[in-house]
Amino acid sequence: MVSALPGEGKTTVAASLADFLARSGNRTLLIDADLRNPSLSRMLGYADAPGLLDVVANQTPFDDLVITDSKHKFDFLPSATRIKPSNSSDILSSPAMKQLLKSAKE
Amino acid sequence: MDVKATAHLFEAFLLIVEWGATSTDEVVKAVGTSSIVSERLLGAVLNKADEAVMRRFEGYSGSKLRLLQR
Repeated sequence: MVSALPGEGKTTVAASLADFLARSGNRTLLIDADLRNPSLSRMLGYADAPGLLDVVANQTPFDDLVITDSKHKFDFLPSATRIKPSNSSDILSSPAMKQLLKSAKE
Repeated sequence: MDVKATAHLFEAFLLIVEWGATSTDEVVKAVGTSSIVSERLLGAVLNKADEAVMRRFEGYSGSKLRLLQR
């Protein structure tokens, strides 16, 4: 999800779309990749949960942190920013991130 | 921002545009900053639309809707 300006509704649309896709029978994984402003993690109630940052920076296994919440049909990986990283672009473009997306597809 | 550095990781993009808040210029400029994004852009979601106003334009071509954006 991209937008020209902040606040246009990416978080809401992302959650709604994930919900719709999952309920339509698709295997759906929603990832909050906004390390600087994890509004999606907050919206879904996982603001303090470990997630993407732990997988990419600390090598925590992806499978250990993906959340399967009965509230939603989709799986969710929070952003995990108890400590806000200053180099979010580096983290998101790292080999570990590529590996995460690869494992997610499987 | 983060998008330019990571665009190559994703197969497709969806652009979210807020009704009445974002100008066409801003949208075009934003999409244009990354060739990967513009190539892989599936489409856009016009968010927070005023449904009453939208209904008045049902049946008209897209050019009428563009007049509503600043």
